[in-house]
Amino acid sequence: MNLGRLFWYAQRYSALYFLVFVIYLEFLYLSNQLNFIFFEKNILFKVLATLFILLANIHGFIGLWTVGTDYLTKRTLGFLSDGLGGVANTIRKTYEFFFVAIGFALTISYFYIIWF
Amino acid sequence: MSKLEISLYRYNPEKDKFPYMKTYNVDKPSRDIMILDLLHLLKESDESISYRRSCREGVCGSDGMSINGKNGLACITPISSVLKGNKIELRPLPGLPVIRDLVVDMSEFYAQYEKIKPFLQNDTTAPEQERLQSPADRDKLDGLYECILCACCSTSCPSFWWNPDKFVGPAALLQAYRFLADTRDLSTDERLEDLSDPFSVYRCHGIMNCVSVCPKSLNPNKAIGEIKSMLLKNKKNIIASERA
Repeated sequence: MNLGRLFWYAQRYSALYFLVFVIYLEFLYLSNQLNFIFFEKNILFKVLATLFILLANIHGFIGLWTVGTDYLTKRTLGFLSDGLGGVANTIRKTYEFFFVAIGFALTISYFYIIWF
Repeated sequence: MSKLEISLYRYNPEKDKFPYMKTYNVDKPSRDIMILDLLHLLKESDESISYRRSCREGVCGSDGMSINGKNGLACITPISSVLKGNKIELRPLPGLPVIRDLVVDMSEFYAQYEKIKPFLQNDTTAPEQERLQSPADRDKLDGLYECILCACCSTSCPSFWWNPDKFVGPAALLQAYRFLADTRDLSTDERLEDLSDPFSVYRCHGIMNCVSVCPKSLNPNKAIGEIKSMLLKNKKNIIASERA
């Protein structure tokens, strides 16, 4: 599978999963099950929440990578100044490093909260 | 007689350090004329004004420009349709390098057009006269082949502004689909493969600027949707089965 198609599928299917997960949360809320005891005891919920976190990372990565490759390029930053255009690749790589690092840190934190 | 206030983008790289807007006041014509006629009137008083034009009837696609903020062909845009008060602002097509005044460098646009290989590819033995199609197959090309490559659509697309070297753009994608949809063309696999990266097609987010500005009322967005559909569903197999 090529990268373009992979990204396209990943974003659409993850968005669909978010919708299903939000409906599931709504159901829990309306049936008065949305509490920490339920979170701690219910394995199905833990698995679904973990999947949500993983898919949110993928969804967010694709979206933020797209924003970076649109707006943090030699061409786009070059509109502001030649100096910025010259270091555009460094700025974009730094931006990518930060959102990957933040995503990684959040994922570890969420896993800890969900499973331990 | 009331006056028209025309704000015109001026830039001559041999003389000007930066582009600027110059205001011209002309008598409002007694009848509704086209923007191109208005430019001719301006040029009578200022010969240094530069713009492209050729057929003056919406066929050659030479005089695409931004007219009061919306891309269009000067030769088929009546002033009455764009007037804001008594003001008209004319700028070159956005996103392309300006050569002079309203004349832009179309190299990036044509490079994308070249990339999609805009010609029929069929290596089977050529028939004596011509490769025939059924009327139904021929109908599939309506709304695709009429593009005049004026670049109004591609230069109204932010994705093309940001990545004109990677995103093919609505005009070239419309032509890409024109050949993908052509039952006589046998390079469907290769054409789809060439468009399968994250930029060429998938950078289109469907904001429909291309549709709203097309002077020929074509729908590049729909063609892009069809290409995405072919890429996702591996529609080449469906086409092969249709051909069989």
